[in-house]
Amino acid sequence: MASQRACVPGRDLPPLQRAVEVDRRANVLVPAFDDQPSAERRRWPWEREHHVDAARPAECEVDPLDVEVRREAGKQRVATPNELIGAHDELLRARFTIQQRLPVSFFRLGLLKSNLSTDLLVNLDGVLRTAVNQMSSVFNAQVAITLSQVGQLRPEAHASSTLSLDEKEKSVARWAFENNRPAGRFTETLPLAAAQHLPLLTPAGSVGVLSLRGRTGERPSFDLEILLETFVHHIALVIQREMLDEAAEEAQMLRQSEKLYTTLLNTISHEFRTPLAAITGASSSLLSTGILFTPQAQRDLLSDIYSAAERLNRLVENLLDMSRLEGGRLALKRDWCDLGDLLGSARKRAELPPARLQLSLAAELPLLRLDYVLMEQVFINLLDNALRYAPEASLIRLEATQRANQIEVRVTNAGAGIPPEDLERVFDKFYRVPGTQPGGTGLGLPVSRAIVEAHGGSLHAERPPGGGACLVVRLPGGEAVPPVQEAAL
Amino acid sequence: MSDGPRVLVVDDEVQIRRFLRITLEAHGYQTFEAEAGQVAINRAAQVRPDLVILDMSLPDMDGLSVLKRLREWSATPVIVLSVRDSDHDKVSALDAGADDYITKPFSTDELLARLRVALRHAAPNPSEEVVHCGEIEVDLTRRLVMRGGEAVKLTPTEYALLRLMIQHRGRVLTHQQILKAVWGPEYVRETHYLRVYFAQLRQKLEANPTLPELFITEPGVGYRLVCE
Repeated sequence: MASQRACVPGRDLPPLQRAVEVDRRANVLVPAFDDQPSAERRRWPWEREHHVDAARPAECEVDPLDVEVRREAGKQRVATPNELIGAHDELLRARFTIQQRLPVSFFRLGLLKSNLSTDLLVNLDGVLRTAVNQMSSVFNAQVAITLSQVGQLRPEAHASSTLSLDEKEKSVARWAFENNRPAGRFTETLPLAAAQHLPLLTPAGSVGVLSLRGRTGERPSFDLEILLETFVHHIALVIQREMLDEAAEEAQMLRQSEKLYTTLLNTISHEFRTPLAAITGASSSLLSTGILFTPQAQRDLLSDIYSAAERLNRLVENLLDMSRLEGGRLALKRDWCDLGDLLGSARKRAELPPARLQLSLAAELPLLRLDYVLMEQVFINLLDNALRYAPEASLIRLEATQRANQIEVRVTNAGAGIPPEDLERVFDKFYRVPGTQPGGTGLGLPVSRAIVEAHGGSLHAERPPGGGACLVVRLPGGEAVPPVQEAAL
Repeated sequence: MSDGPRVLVVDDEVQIRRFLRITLEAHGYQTFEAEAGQVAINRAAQVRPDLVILDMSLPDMDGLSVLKRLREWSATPVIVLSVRDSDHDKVSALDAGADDYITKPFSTDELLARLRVALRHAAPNPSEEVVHCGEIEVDLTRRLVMRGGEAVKLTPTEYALLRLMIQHRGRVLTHQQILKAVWGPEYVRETHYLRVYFAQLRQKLEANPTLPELFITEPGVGYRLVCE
């Protein structure tokens, strides 16, 4: 065999036209095996035609360097000679190994497919990570996936990539992407590159490039090449699906946030306008010439202005708290607090007359480490609500008790109460129990709940057996108060 | 213009300055205005006010810097205007020598009360022997405390705390100022001492300890003894 002359392409070897198109979109042709492999081994197409049988060598020896590169009218690429020869050699050398390995490879491909398809991979990152991992192990290679963005290849490969691409490799990858054709090592374009770059083609266009560099540096066997094509094709489709999903999700989120924004704007402008209308109306009446108000009427108008302004101030405070809470910028300034003190000052700021307050504080309540200003805001909101929805001159009950390691504060009024189906919804921003009079900020309860939760506690609404509404704040009371000493005088 | 106390109003909002001018002049004060920090410092040197109302947020420099510059040469009482969320600013201003603060928005009554207290503390004080505050009466020379005509027994620490608050009645004192004055400089972080002792004082001296009217907590800042 060694003494034989080299095969001459076109004479000893036929043109590669019997190849079967595997992937039209990739414009790649690879040769087909016989459908039924013989007991001995699979045959290459030309072997059947020209009776070149590796097992029974013909008069010439196939030299990889002599095999011509063939294209078909520039549309389709035929598997490169190197690819064919490499695969051929591999088949000759180790066909049994290959035959044993093939099913394993396909099993792995199945695994990849199932992994890629499962819902566990909720996002594109997960898909890419799995693809890189699977490809790295199946092909014993380092792998990089570079996605495209608005028709351009991104400058950096995805973070999960195990292959790092230098500028030269990136330019090869870019070529593969722009031309929708493989490039780099083991291909006919820029074969001096270290890695092989395969465009991730989908019916809708290329979604990126997969770059692969074998750890051994040897060219992959023919079956692995096929496997690679299949992998790449499948990965491309999964990526495309994920990209579409993400785009759809983003659009959905955008729609939701726009809706929320609109709701927020509408509600806020309404909440602002009501007190502003009171202020504008009352002050313009007072300013108007030619009208003589009684001193009592003047005072009434002025007190309307004053309370509308206070309401605006509360609205602004709650809005600020809400934005700080949602922005995650809320740092609690915890310090030791006397709960009785805190409830007392909240009572004052909520303008709840002492005569309408029924206060019951358990003796020996421990000091708590709280953010005084924020927790005061919570109780101002709760008392404010209790007052707003209570019958005139009725009592507001404020109780603080300690149970085991928990402090519980209950604010109860004698109002109509909250319907059972709304007990939770009253904590939604701008939710108002249907049929109740307007006046609140629509933010008091949600802000309060967020503040209490930031303290490790909870806030919920109840329907007490005696009627009315009850808001329950629970706070952890676990921290031991350090000892207190007398001053040295 | 009346010849009442001279007040310099430092605020960049023209509406606030106008409202303060009208209100203060109606109550017999003379007012001067400044709309920025540097102007305020020059104006203060020029008109020598009896009191300065200083907004903490000014266009050219922050209120705290204005206060510090002012304190380099003047002991004029300063009342700081601040917003709710900035208790840190309030404490810094009080520690830098402000006499009191008031949170925007505020009512005129609140402001006038603060002004009176600050002006009183600035006036040379004849040594007081007996001070009345609401229902309580404190005889500072004989260390006697009465409530509604009945003697109240206080521990030495409680008395020291009460005496400090009486001396500065009407004014806010920061946690640090109180701890330093009563317990000593190494105790300025032990704010829980104050929770415990003020609760005790309220228990003994307030008509309704759960709804205090005398010993008022200033959230995040300190305490104020209100004797109106």
